[in-house]
Amino acid sequence: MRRVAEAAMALSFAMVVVPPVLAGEAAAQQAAPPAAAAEPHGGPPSPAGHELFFGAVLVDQAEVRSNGRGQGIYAFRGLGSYGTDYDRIQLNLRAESNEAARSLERAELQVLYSRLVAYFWDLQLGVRHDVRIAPRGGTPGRTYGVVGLQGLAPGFFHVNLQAFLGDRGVPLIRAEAAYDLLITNRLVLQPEAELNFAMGRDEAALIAPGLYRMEAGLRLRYEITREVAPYVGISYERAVGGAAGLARRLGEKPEATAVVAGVRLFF
Amino acid sequence: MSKVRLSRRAALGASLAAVALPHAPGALAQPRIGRAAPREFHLVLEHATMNVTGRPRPAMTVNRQIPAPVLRFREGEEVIINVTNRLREEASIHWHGLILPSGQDGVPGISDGFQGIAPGTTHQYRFPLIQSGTYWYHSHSGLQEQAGIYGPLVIDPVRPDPFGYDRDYVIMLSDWTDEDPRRVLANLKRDPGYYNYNKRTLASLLGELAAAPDGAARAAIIADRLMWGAMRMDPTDIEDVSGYTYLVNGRPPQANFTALYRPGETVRLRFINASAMSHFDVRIPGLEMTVVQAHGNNVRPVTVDEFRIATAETYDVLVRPRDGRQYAILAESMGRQGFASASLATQEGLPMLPLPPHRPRPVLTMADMGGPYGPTGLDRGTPLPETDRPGQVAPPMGMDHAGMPGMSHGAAPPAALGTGHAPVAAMDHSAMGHAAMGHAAMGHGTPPAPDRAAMDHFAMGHGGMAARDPFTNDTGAPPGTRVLSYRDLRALSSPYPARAPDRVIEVRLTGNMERYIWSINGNRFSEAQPIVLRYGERVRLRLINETMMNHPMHLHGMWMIPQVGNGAENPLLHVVNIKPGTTLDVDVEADAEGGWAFHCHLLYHMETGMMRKVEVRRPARTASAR
Repeated sequence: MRRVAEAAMALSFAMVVVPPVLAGEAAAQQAAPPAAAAEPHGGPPSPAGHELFFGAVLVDQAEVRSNGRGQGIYAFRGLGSYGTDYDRIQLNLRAESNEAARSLERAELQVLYSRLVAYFWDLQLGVRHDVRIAPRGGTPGRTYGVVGLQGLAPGFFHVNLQAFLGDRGVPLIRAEAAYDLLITNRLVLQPEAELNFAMGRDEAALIAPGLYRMEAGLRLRYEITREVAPYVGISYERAVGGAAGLARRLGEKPEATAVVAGVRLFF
Repeated sequence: MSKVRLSRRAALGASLAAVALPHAPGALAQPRIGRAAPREFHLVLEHATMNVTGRPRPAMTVNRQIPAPVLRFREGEEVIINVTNRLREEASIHWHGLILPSGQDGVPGISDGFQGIAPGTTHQYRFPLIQSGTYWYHSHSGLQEQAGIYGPLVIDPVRPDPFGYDRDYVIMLSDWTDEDPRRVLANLKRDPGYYNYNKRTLASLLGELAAAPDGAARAAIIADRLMWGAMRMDPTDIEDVSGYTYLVNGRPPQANFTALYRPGETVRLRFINASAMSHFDVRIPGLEMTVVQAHGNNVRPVTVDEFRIATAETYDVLVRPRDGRQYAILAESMGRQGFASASLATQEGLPMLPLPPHRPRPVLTMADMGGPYGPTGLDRGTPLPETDRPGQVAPPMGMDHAGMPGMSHGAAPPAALGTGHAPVAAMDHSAMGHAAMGHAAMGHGTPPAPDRAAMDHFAMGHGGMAARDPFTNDTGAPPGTRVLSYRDLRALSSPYPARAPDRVIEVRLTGNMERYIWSINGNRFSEAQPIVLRYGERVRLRLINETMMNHPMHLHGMWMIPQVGNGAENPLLHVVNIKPGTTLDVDVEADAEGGWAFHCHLLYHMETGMMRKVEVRRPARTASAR
């Protein structure tokens, strides 16, 4: 695990140091050598001219899920990013506890290099690692390469499209969309949905060809400040098609609906 | 001046802090003749603690005050100003609006040979004053201006101004935030809508629908919402930052700065907008104001009831209160977030008059979109060809105005520009149901017929959509109110003959509203080439605002002459506000050699990239012939 995480970090930092093709193209479009531009009244560039670096942390979901029976499930989904207008490092983290064993059911970490390529869109490249925590329970460890497009689609839909190519050779595609419906300026209803597709079979990871897993949620948050917004809502997830069968074979229910309560954090 | 509580650290240096009075304070207000020694002034920049809202907050001060002391100069004299930087960071002072050598202009990295004032050092500025009027000075480093480093600068003329007055007050408007300015910028970067709690919501939609008179109006409201959503733009984005307390001479409204008068006297008020991010609509209920000076330059007097003062502008007005009443000087922020307020009264210490309710908050309409966007193919003035960078220019919105219910009459013919605001009014009504709508721009009296030559480009390339009038300020005033516009400004004298420009330079004001990136011609300052002008040429900057925000563009070192249609009397300005979706031609006589800053004076727009270096170079041949 640690080695994989280190490798992932190393990979994404390497991508920053050696910008991908797109960065090169953007630079080539601009035919101005900075030296020529600064020539006659030259000297070092103005302090205001330096690139500004900014960071942000968004914990979109930090919640307890309950279906009314047994212990609740703890779920977390968040991201952190740091960088300039064009080049950023982004970490995506999602984790979910196991109802029976008090351990992680699923945990996924992505380390991405993010490049602004269009007004509303970032192209992202990096690594995803699915963590296996319990030796016998939960889904197994997997590592994927990631290509993604993250941004804002017409209608103000937050969209994240990602393609994964795994070490087991099973390509996956994930499409996420969310919308902030402002009921008032502080009360926000957020529907979100996620669809996961596979191009192959990975039984241990409960992956079967086609649409294999979907998630949907509806969360009503109150923004006390932009930073802290408690919420309640419902979440629904379901293994679909062949994956439903795989889940049943493991004695898991393919479908789960839960009431959720949590807090959204944005710093 | 406002109370400034010194931090312990700053207090240590307090005894050493000099005062900005000249060493010869009793000097006569007459021009010096001959080679008199220049007067010397001392400014000290320090960290301090400021308490505006009841919470002591860190601030930056000049000579331990906010605003900085009034620098009172005389036309024709030479001054020496020693600026000591006791901040923990590099600093600078820029003399806003002054015509002086580039090396004295005070912009680190842009002014010739100037790299800022390092902490713990003193920098000496020295320059002659070749102009008179109301100006100001402020830091040009980072976000120090927002933290408190700004002050008034008044230059008394050699020959008396062509108008009389009995009293003279500086009214310096500014916006104070309890937040660290760097935090403000970080908030805007991670969420450009961070400070906007006036977005359109489901609740406001239901309210609008309920208020709509008929089905067609409701359809128009829905269509308007869908259109803004499809564009991924926010029509309520008027001011980027909220949480401001608006100050007059460093005082919040309840502290009630008072300008004294005796009935029958003429009082000159020198309005200076030293705010970082705010435009104000200024009025003195019950009094008319005669604008006699704009940006330090005398203009043909024009009497108005209101004027909008963009960030960094200055206007001098005369008022003649006759009855001994107390009058409120009101400056309402353009986004209706608050008032800066002061009093005009016959005695000090009166409580402030109650503030009026806010005018309706403006909502952007399709007219603010302008467009279509994109390069116009003109010269950009850069040494090498330049193209837009990805992500800095709004994509074509693909608006089909004719197809929008209620929007079809927005495609008024350009002929409607004769009155300027007719198409604006039409567009406003089409959006129906907004409280802010309907007042339109009716308040403006009868603007002079525009100079067709100056106006012809409005019709250019706008694909049948009438361009918005770049001059009318829609302050939401009741009908019949006289509101100042740039068209009303007629220079009393100009050092420049009216002549055709040698070339036209395209200056598109661009930016990414989702990422809080601001730029000129699709290039942020950090990556942009300078705009290079030939010494002696007259260039016409075609300022095209492709964004949905106002941009008060400031050129250092040279006057900007907006082509407002007054021919040889077009005013000389140091800031020209470009309204959303409008285009304005501004002529510049390139008569000042060296490097100059050219930028949006909204502080966070400048800091995130809406700035260029303008270089005025003497052609090589001329130089060798000398």
